[in-house]
Amino acid sequence: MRNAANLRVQVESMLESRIPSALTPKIKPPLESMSCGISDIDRFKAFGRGTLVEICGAPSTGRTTLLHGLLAQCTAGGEAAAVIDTSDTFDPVSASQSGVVLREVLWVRCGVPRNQGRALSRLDQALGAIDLLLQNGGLGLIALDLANVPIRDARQIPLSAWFKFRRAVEDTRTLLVVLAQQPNAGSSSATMLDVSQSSVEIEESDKPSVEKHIDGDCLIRTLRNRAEVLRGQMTKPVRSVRTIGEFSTSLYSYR
Amino acid sequence: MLYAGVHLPNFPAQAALRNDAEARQKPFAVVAGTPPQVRVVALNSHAKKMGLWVGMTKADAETQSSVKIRERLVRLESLAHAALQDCLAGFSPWCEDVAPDLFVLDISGLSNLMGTPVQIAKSIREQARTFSLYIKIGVAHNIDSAIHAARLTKNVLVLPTGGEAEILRDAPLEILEATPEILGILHRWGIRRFGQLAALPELALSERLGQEGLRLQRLTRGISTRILSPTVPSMAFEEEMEFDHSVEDLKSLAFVFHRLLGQLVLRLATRALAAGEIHLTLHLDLAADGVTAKEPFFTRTLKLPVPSVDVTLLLKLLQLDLEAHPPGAPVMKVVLHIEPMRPRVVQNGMFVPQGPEPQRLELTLAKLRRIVGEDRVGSPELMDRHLPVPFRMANFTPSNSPSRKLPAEVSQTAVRIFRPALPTSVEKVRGTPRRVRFSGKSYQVSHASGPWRRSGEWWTRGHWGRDEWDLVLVSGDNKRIVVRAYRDLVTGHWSVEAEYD
Repeated sequence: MRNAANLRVQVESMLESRIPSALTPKIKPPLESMSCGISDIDRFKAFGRGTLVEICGAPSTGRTTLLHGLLAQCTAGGEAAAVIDTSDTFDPVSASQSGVVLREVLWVRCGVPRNQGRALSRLDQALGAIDLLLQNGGLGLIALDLANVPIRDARQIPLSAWFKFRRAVEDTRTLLVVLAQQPNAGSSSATMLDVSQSSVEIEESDKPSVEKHIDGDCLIRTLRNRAEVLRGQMTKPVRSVRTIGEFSTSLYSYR
Repeated sequence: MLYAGVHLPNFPAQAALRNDAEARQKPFAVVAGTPPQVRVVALNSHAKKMGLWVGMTKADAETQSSVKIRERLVRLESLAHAALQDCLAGFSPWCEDVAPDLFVLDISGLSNLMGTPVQIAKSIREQARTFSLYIKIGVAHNIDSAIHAARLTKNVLVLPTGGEAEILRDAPLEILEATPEILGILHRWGIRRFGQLAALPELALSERLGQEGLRLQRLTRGISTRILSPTVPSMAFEEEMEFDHSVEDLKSLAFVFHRLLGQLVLRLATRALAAGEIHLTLHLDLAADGVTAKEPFFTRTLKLPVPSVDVTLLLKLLQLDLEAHPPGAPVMKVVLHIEPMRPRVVQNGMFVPQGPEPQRLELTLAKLRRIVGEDRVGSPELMDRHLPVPFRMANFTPSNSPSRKLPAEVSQTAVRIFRPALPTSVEKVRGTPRRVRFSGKSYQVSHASGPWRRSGEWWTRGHWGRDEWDLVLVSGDNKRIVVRAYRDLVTGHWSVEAEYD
């Protein structure tokens, strides 16, 4: 080992005039992390620009809330963002209420299969769209929403495609976020955020049971969710991290 | 003062061949007149070499099978005229439109920028070549001499001050703007050159031909007091091409579009303008087989969010639009019209976030529309209407300006809307859902909040009304989801509309 280290120093000194630090890996500057508007999650610094981040979880676990938070922070800063909506489930009303500047959001609604008579599946449309948007560049955030795509279908996206997406955003200011039920990108994702539901807070009516006109006399107040960073490659050398945070969101404003 | 006379020789042929590079390489003749007196009015050098001449009948010209013959089209000539006017506008704003094939422009003061009069004239000729126009230029210190020099020369002729009469001495009298009667009289006298007319005694000429004779004599001596009256160039940017045979393949049209757009963009660029809107009109051949089009004309309009002079971008946008909206019949003629706009000049601030490049973004949006559908790409825009989810799709035009209001901490649960809503079967106890089934799965209702009555648009035919419920559902594997379900007040059917996530 000592000889190898000596040899390395020797080679580097010989090449110094032409290629400075030829055998030393280049230290990348720390990546700027995007805020999602939830302080307990922001402390993970999970959403680094120029990386691919997966947010995985079952329905009603706060995946979309995190996405709306990211969109709100990105668009409020004057940056443009894109949502590739594989299942056409994006709700502009709740996004706007979360602070998303809608005119800065490009919404690509996959769904109608058409391309010169050739039927493209929703997933193929989404993959085509993300390819085009990554080539275009200039967007602060690109979100690929696979949250309602069956796990079996999402698994069919080849790893090479994820690798290509990761390479496309590398060294740019674009954050690529993927919402899915389970992780699909493998080692191409810099961060994998696993979200799960902790509890649902219900506000029961204080009226006695006999006075309730119907049984639905209650209010769903809050969804409590848990987010766990299962993998983080934000810093070199690569190391696995497990960090847990909690956040709760209210349904109160809808009623 | 220094003037340049610009003459387009063989004008009908040049106008017909301007957008047809292939035909320029072959013998070509333009005919005009009413049958049976249809005669050749212009031809190219290849046709001349084959023995054709201006004035021969169309029947005689057709004996040469390799000669391509076309009718004279005044419209093509006016387009060529407008193109040359745009070309000259790039050199001087003081440009007089003398005749369809003749312009005069004031080039005084250009010497500081472009050099000697010869160099200026050569620059104008080179620029005209990019417009596929061959021009002759005469430069002189008065307008009429510049016109005569332009008509006389084969490429560029510069007349020095005082030397006009000497250089124009051997010029034929036909290039003077004389009436046929006077020209006939002069020919009968044996006067055929400028020098001969200039040498005639003024008094005797005045006695025989009057003031007009004296005016013509002054012109032959290089004396003129004519004042330039500048013409304002038209803002119509249009190019067209007609095919000998109708074109079925849209990909083949790309070459034509490229050619026409190239010409239009060149004209716009010389006027410091950019394309804001493109109007495409296709004349269709409805007599062909398998035609689905009903109208003989097919029109499309492309509105560009940012004015552009990028031919590749405009061409790609046209192609993508035509692929999405095919004309449905073979194409006989293409007409492209561009609405000009001032190019957008933007200087980005140092602290303004960098957004997508507008021209490139427009192309990406067109490609996205091709993949997912015409009205499924854009920015959502909320509407002030009483609809269940009141929004519409608007064009995506990012402003790149930071919002004044910083977003607060996210506290509201996001909603995911199922489009269309999922049909649901519901078991109720005392009016409250207790068990629901949708998308092939059964759920126990652990909590139900509602009903919340919502309705809207009852004053229109699109009225709607529903009782909404927020349901906490527990699946068989003990997973909890929160959804929004509703019962339609009109049909009584239950649906799950959204999921809280």
